Amino acid sequence: MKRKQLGSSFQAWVYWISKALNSFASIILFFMMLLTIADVFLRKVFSQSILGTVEVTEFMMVILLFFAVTQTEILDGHVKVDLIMSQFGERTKTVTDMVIQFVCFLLFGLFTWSTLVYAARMRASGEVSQDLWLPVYPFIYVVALGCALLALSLLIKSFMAFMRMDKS
Amino acid sequence: MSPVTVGIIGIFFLFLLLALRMQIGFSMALVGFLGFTVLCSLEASFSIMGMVAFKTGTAYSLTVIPLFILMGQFANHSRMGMEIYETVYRWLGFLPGGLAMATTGACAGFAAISGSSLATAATMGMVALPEMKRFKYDDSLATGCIAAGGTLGILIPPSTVLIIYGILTEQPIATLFIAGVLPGLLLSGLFLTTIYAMTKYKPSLGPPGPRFTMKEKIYSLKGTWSLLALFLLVIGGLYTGWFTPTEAAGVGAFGAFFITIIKGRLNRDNLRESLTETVKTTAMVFVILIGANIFGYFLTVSQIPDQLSTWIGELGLNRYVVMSMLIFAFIILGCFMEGLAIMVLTIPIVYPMVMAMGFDPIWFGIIITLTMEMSLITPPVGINVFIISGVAKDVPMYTIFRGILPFWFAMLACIILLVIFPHIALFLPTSMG
Repeated sequence: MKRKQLGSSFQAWVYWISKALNSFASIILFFMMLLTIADVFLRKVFSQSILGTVEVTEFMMVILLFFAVTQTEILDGHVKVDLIMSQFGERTKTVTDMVIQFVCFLLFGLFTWSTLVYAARMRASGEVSQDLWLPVYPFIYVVALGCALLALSLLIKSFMAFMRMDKS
Repeated sequence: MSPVTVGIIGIFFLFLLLALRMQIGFSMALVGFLGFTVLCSLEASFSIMGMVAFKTGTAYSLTVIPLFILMGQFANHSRMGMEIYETVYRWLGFLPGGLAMATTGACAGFAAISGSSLATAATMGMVALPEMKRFKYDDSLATGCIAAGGTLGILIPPSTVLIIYGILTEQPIATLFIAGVLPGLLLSGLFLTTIYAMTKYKPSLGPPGPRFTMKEKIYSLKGTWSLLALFLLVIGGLYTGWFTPTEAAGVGAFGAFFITIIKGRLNRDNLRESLTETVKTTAMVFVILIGANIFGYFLTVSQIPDQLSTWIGELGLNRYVVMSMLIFAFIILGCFMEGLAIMVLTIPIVYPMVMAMGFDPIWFGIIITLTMEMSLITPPVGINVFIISGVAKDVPMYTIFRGILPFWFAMLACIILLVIFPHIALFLPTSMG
């Protein structure tokens, strides 16, 4: 019982964080739109563009994406091919889900690790963006954070399938 | 083991994972990673993996994706779909089958601000279906024309499918969008002809709707002119080269946002919903693109695309025979898989071959998009049909599929016309600024 409680509060944490990050991603998207339109307007009307629009948009994009990726998974937003497994029984589906989602957890663990290595390398090299000289590496850590959270949500999914199997 | 053998095993393994319901993007990343490890080294594979997610996420050319999706989302919430329908209804409704024609026209109009077929079908399903029921339209015609008309969403720009094709093949998105305009109009015309022919043959399928005076017709344009202006600004800006695709997308999103505000239809809830829906779709698309990217590295070192292209070349078949076989294969795959998945899985393999045969890359993009449209309505997995059956709960799925059949043939006719006259797609792009 206690173990189950611990599990569910872990799940609540992961879900809460991913929801918060997702809201942040929505706000970033809104500002991305505003930045683009402001830059276009200033350039076409006053022939004066905003310095660093391209790189700031790119950085916003990466935050948007990796802050939203876990919530999308929680909402089952990542496309799957349903046709074949839907022919099988509930138990078979649960077992394959458990295994497959665990493999996905490992995959994104690997993604996190390799991205962290890349981030450390970029940090050591001191690479900065072209116009505003912003350091690039923090944004790679954003990718790693997104991948890590996604990995945790996949682990939860696998575990939930395991619990369902236990019951049936 | 030769690289090609490893490649083939990899592709089989990928299909196995997909069948076991692994997320498409995830399975491509996994197979790509493992395959590259086998053919090169774990070290190289590991460092590619670390880079690809970041590099894909920060590619400036990909920022068009969220912005165009956002434009469509605002368009949904502004209830523009309803107004477009109202306008076309007043102009065409009195004809035999006129309500179905109005639906097709409204789908084409809505497609001009939305890059998604699902959104187009869902919107029109809610607006047009009750009206056709009221005028005692045959269920199969009513549902069929919405499901088919909805597919115009990905052919008429903006189009998410064309953006992804452009990214996978490194073709300019602006050119692809412009190339989609005339085929989009042609297909709409073919749909209208189909409806006309069906109701001519059997008038009870679609009785005429009410007639409106010229004044009422003109007046109905009040709700739609802003939309037309937005389309002309975005696509015209792309055509003349005044905007880059990202700028056009930003302007389009902001324009749709602005129109929603002046129509007094923006509130906190639908603003939040537009943003979160966009963010979700963006994450879905990008995860697939990241997976496709990693898988692409593997495919390249496996030499499968090159070998396939050489092999087909050695067979000495007429290139149109090969193209017909390809189109046939796409249509069959489309019965079982979603369009986006088919595209990311097959384009990297067949694209080099198609180019080696001397076909135009932009034209091929339009052809692929048309086959993707077909995949949206073919059983057993026709997403648009599922959407319509969600709206029209009393209509059996079988009736909807039967209603779609004539439109399916219209799509096939459109593909054949495009193969015979590639200029339908290529005329506008060649005159671009």
